[in-house]
Amino acid sequence: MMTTEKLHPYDRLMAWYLPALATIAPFIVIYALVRPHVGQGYFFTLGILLALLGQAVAWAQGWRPMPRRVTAPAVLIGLNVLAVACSMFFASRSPMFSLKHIFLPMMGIVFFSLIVIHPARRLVLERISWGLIIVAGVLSLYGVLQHFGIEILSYSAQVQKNTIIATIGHPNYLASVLGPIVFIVLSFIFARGGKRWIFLGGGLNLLILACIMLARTRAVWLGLIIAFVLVFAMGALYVRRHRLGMKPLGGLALGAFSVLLILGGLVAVALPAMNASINLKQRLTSEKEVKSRFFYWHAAIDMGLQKSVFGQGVGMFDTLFWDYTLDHQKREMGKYYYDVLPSISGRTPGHVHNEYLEVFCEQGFAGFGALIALLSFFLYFGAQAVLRQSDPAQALKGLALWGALVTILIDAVFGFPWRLPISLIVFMVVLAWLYDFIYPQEKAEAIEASANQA
Amino acid sequence: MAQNDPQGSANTVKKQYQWLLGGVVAMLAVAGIVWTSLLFIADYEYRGVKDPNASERSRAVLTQYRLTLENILKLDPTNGEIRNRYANVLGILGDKQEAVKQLKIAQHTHNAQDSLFFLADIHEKLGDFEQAESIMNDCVVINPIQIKFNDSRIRMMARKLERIDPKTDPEIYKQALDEYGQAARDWSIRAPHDPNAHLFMGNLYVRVRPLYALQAYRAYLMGLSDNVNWMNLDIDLMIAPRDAMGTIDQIINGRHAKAYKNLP
Repeated sequence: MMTTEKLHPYDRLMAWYLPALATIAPFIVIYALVRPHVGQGYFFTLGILLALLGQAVAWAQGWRPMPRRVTAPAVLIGLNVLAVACSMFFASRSPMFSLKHIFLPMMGIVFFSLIVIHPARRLVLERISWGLIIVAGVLSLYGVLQHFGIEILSYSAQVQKNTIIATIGHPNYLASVLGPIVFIVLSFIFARGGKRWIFLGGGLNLLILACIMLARTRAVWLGLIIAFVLVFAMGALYVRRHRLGMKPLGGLALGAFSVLLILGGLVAVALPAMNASINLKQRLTSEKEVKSRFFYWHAAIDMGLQKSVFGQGVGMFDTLFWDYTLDHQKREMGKYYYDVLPSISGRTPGHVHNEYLEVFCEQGFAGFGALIALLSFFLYFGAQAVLRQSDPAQALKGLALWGALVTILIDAVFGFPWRLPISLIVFMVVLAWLYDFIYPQEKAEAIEASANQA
Repeated sequence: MAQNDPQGSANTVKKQYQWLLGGVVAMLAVAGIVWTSLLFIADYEYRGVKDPNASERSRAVLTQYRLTLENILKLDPTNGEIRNRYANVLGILGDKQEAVKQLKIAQHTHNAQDSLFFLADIHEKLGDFEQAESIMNDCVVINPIQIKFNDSRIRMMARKLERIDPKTDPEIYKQALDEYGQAARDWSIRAPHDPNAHLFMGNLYVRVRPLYALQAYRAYLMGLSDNVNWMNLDIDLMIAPRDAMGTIDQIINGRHAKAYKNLP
């Protein structure tokens, strides 16, 4: 286990500060702001800005060496920031409004950067992951208790859809937070091994999945299933490449089978007994809901094509939506979506409910291209880095984290998790882990550099 | 000696870069902290501000409410939702020109259907009837089931009729009457539970022909009654008038209809 004795006091502070920020944020509750994510967003933003101020002082004082190399992710992040800036200044009706909307995702990128430049990066990541695992356990337990009507906070009255919201404020958002953490827990099980970890970690994952099931969300299930299949396939590729035999995968397959069996039992027996049966057909074919989503996506594509280079401006989808709808309803195609209007009337949509299309709509091909490049980098090179691992435990750990990324990317097709603080934190942590696999930190060199600054 | 110490020079340059980088990042961080804090304060205060209800709307209360919203807008000028409320208060206080101006600024960042309706209402009060009607037509296109929007639109069409002299502009009057009749009939089919739907029909019957006075009388009675739930019809605000013919046929043939769409 890495220790921190050789680290500069500033680095030792940050090695606790960043994990504390990620762990406390989900429990910030400011009732006056109505939606939990608003208060959590302010908390996270201010926390990151303080950390950034600290980093600035560290550079100025020489406590931390300046970044020495420019990696591909840094360039790709830079391109994304440039696309955002172009969208704000050349496309948006109100650059300050756009800045307000993109500020939280930008803070996510700063959080990612602060983690990866830390001289004890792996230690920071381990601590943050521990924090997220504890968070997931508490949120899942609270979510299940909420199903039984046990409510500790008053948010459910203010935030009306479904009571399974924990401290996060919405079932879909809660699922976006918990889904990837299933794979983070799995990564810990693989890295540590042992019966204790298998039972405790497996039990925690079952609790998380039960909570997600009670929340009756859909998108994250698709992400989990596809991610698991891909992880298994990649695992098979790894054992074949390294000629390890099927034992590591056998354990994974057995674990997956057990989980499926228990989930089947939940759906068939336990949930109906708790009056929480899932009407899968109704959830998958709720026509008006599905059609309204399609309309948002259709609108986003049309609006993006209208200003295809830099888009309509960050945050402008919501503002321009009803103008677009008015114009759309006056055209022939409007008849197809006419029946959707009552279900979406009386409010603005907020977001496209598809991160990729929202980026395309608001930042055009420039932003969309930069985003896809960045995500493709982590998907491809993350997988490559994992397959290169000589230690099977580390390889399986990396695979699980890669699976978390796949879950997040698929979940983003149906929601807006990257614009909400806690799911954004989880996303950044997963990216930082994959960064660590792609660019392993030279331990001795990093700690020595930090110590020399002290 | 200092001039012959390249390592020392390099270290000095490096330190300068460190200070520069640190200084720039620190300024950005401080600016971000100040801005985020202002947004937080604006959000927090705004959530605590309650619209004065009808009984509290004295000029003093509304003026204080207006000042509160103005102060919050200074902290977060791009917040269209707050600016919409601000415009609403200005309209109530009588400063309609400023209300329209604020609404148009608010629409840059917050374009809700209610603000469109309010804009139409303000234009009407300012006497800009054509603009009001055009905006109200748009309101109904994107929110066809909102009773308030439909009623306001048809009311505007009725007022338009009152402004036209049928003797001096018979063609224009006829066109306006046809449009009004179409809208009134469509709405009465879709919303028989809305008393105004019957009042609009009454107005139509009165204008069309003297023989329709009986229908007009009946429609006025239904519109002014407390319970307009004629024949227990299952209301479908989205129904197209042609689809209602099935129900009408059933009524004519003496069979009660349960719903417009799901007929027995």
